[in-house]
Amino acid sequence: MIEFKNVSKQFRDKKRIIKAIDFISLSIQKGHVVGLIGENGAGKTTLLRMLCTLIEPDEGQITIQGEDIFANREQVRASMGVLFGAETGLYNRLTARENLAYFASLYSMSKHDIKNRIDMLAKRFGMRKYLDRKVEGFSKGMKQKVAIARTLIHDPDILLFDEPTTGLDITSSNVFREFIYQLKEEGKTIMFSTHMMDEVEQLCDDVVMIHKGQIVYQGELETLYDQEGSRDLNYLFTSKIVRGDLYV
Amino acid sequence: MFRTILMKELKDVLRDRRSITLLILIPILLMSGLTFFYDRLLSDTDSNDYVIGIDADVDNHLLQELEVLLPEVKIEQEENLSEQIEDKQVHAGLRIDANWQEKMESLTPVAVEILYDPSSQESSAAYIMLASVFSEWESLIVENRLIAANIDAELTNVFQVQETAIKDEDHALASFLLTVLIPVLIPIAIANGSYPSATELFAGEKEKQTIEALLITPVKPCKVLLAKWTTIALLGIFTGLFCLLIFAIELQFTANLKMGFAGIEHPWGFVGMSMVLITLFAVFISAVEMIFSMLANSVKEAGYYLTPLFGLLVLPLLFMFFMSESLITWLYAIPVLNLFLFVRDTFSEQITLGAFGLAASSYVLMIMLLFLIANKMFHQHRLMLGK
Ligand SMILES: Nc1ncnc2c1ncn2[C@@H]1O[C@H](COP(=O)(O)OP(=O)(O)OP(=O)(O)O)[C@@H](O)[C@H]1O
Ligand SMILES: [Mg+2]
Repeated sequence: MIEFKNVSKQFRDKKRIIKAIDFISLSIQKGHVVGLIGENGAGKTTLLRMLCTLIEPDEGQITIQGEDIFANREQVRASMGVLFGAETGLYNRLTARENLAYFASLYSMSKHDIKNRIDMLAKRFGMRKYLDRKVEGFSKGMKQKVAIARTLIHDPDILLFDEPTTGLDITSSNVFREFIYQLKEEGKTIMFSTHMMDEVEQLCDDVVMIHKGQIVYQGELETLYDQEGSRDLNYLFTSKIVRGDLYV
Repeated sequence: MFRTILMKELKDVLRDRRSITLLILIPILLMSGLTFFYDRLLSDTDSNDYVIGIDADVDNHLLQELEVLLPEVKIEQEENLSEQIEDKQVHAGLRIDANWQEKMESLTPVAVEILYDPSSQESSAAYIMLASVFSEWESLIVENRLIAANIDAELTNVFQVQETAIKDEDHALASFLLTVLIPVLIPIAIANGSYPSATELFAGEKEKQTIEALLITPVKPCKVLLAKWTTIALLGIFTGLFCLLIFAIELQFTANLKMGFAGIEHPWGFVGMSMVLITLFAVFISAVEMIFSMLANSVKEAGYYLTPLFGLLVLPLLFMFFMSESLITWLYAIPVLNLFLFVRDTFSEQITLGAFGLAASSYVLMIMLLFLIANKMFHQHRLMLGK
């Protein structure tokens, strides 16, 4: 279980102080798929960056199975696969295989394991044909597959995606959805941020709604639907932020 | 892990055509072009085929006299001398009193006007040449006049001045050109050789958002930084040593420029010390490039920061003209300037191990300082990740 306890993070931007994450607490069950929704600048990326130990909170604590993630950074990182953006984190002048092998060795995998894992992922993602071509000439969809394969290379238990389908066409977005289904089957814990409500409706067990750095709803989707008496997530989100604004 | 990152970075950078060009082609072109250009320049300085303009209405007798006095000079009769000099048609102009013969016979001074352009080196040289020809002619006439008056001609000779150059003049000029050429070209080549990797590995990774993926791996950021820096420095060192090699080879094919080395007592000592300084300078400049690259958010932006920096590498050349020519050891503590001093003082045989050691240790100190700064910056997520 992942837990945020009273976590805050602020940035100083030209003397102005921005509360990117404002005293939030939330918990994510093992094996759940969690959708993270919020307007631009709500703090989604900041939240995910803290969870993958890229930046430290100013206050509060983040734990996985009760252990502070910053106390054991390396182990936490080894158990996470993270993708910021849809098709980022690839080196254009390297081939798909070289990209995957490079990251695999950064996770201290053995040569033998690397080879097997790449073969397995290539088969699963249907990218064997272009595995040995330079990423440079790939379409966005092809890059996205390699990028997702990269995040899975070390077989992590927790997966974090930040706007994984932004800028992709319908086919590529569907490819992503398909993978989330599969990964959920495998029992992975997944959290992803998105601006597509239907993605959350289709894929997620839980939803985290965040507005101006504060949580306006956190919990199961079904519970939310029951509470509010509606299954229109778009409508629910909008009404939540309006009410959220009144609280602030 | 360090090796994995280093090998990957080298592979990535060397697959870029731009880096290959800057690593191999630019040093060859730069070194060859300038080596042979300066060599030509040296061989040209001996032949002074000046063209002198003279007033169009000059009499034939004077022309004949001048042709005897100036056997290697081309004399042309021109209408407007100043304009001709300005337009570089002639190097200098001569205007001589039309009644020169009568005046000479009546022992009246003959007006001679030499026109030249002080802003042109060739014109000034032509002026000096003409002035000395006239003073020689004058001595000759004075001597004849004294003999005619039955006075001992020796009377006018007070001194017997003889100039003895302690070095071959051509060799000295070649040495001078080398002391300018070497410390300008090699550092620039080094900076250029490490430039593509420096901009790609930080600003470029930020731009392509690959840096995030790299920083969320369990690898210690310090290791990532060291591996990247090593990549940049290695490429810089390669370019520097490659330049030295090309230069050494090409110098063998020059006629005059290689004579500049005649003055160096221990050429291999010079080469050895140069290699040490090239290596240290490459590590130093790659750290500087790395820091500026971290400040930028794109390769292009990094370029804006680094281009003026490269201009600074030539700046010491300006100071060199005002500086005392004797060895001033403490100046060796100043990076970049010490490269110019090192080459100059080696050619003038006044370099000491102390001065060389000071230069080397000042680079080591700078490198450590820059690494601390870079490491601090690399850990600042605001700088490395962007919004
Ligand atoms: N490194 C930083 N320095 C200064 N301000 C930052 C930094 N990172 C984020 N912010 C600010 O913090 C706030 C939250 O940003 P964040 O990127 O987490 O939002 P987001 O929900 O991911 O938005 P988007 O949907 O646009 O991606 C914004 O106001 C942003 O400007
Ligand atoms: Mg974001």
